[in-house]
Amino acid sequence: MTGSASLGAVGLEWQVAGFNNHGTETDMVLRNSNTGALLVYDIAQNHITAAVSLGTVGLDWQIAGFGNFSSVPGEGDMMMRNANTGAFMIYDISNNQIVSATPMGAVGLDWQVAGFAPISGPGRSDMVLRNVNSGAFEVYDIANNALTGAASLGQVGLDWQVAGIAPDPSGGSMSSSGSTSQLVQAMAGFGASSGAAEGLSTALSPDTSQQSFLTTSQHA
Amino acid sequence: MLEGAHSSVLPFTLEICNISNNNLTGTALIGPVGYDQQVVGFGNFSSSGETDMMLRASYNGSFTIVDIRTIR
Repeated sequence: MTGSASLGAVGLEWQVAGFNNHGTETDMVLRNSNTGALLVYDIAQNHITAAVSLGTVGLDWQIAGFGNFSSVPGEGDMMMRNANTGAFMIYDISNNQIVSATPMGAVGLDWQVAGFAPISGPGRSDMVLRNVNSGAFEVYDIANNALTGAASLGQVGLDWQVAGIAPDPSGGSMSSSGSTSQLVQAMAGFGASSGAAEGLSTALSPDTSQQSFLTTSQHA
Repeated sequence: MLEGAHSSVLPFTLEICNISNNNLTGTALIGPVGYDQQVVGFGNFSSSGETDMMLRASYNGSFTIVDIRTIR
């Protein structure tokens, strides 16, 4: 640790929604837990350089995560999910403004977002879902604000919980089968009991059947 | 990043675990953090191209960036 810097206080009704990487910097997105309002704090050199409203979205829409879904180099966008319907919506963010909202369709609520990672290729932000009943993983490839593919990542026992997903910085993606294996192992490797190895033995067979999980697109 | 109860005075000690080729290759202590501070995320807040840590105080909502460099 080489130092610390205070950014000041923000009311506790403003909760951290996530961190949005764009270019070489990371900004913080806050959400008002009473109104659903979104606020982005630009951070550079350990200081808040700007605070910009992104508008308000109903509280039935929850933030699923951030990533570069638009495929515009250096941009960070936001994925939201409707807590009642399971619908996904991409909010394309550029220069601290939402420039478009694109529905991605709905997935059953038994499938929860496990994280976003460059699984289909470097620089991509693909979405990994996990079934809360079976422990199965699915990846949805995303580019240009659209689904471009989907595949099964296999199944790991529910006693193994996802602690995080991190790409290999040397390769920048997880596109090969070996790297996919690393992804599953990484996700399973933070669990507290045995059983992941057995799950991995059948985890990596391609499966396109999950495309049927998508249903009609729904708007906010 | 691990958070453990290593100190009776300041109960949480943060530790970095370096991972390479699926193996833990090293650990480094960052130091103690009070109960009232929660880790809310990581990012390049210092504009140095490296990863820093954001803490938030649970009692008043204040944010603190911890600039992390040169820990081996």
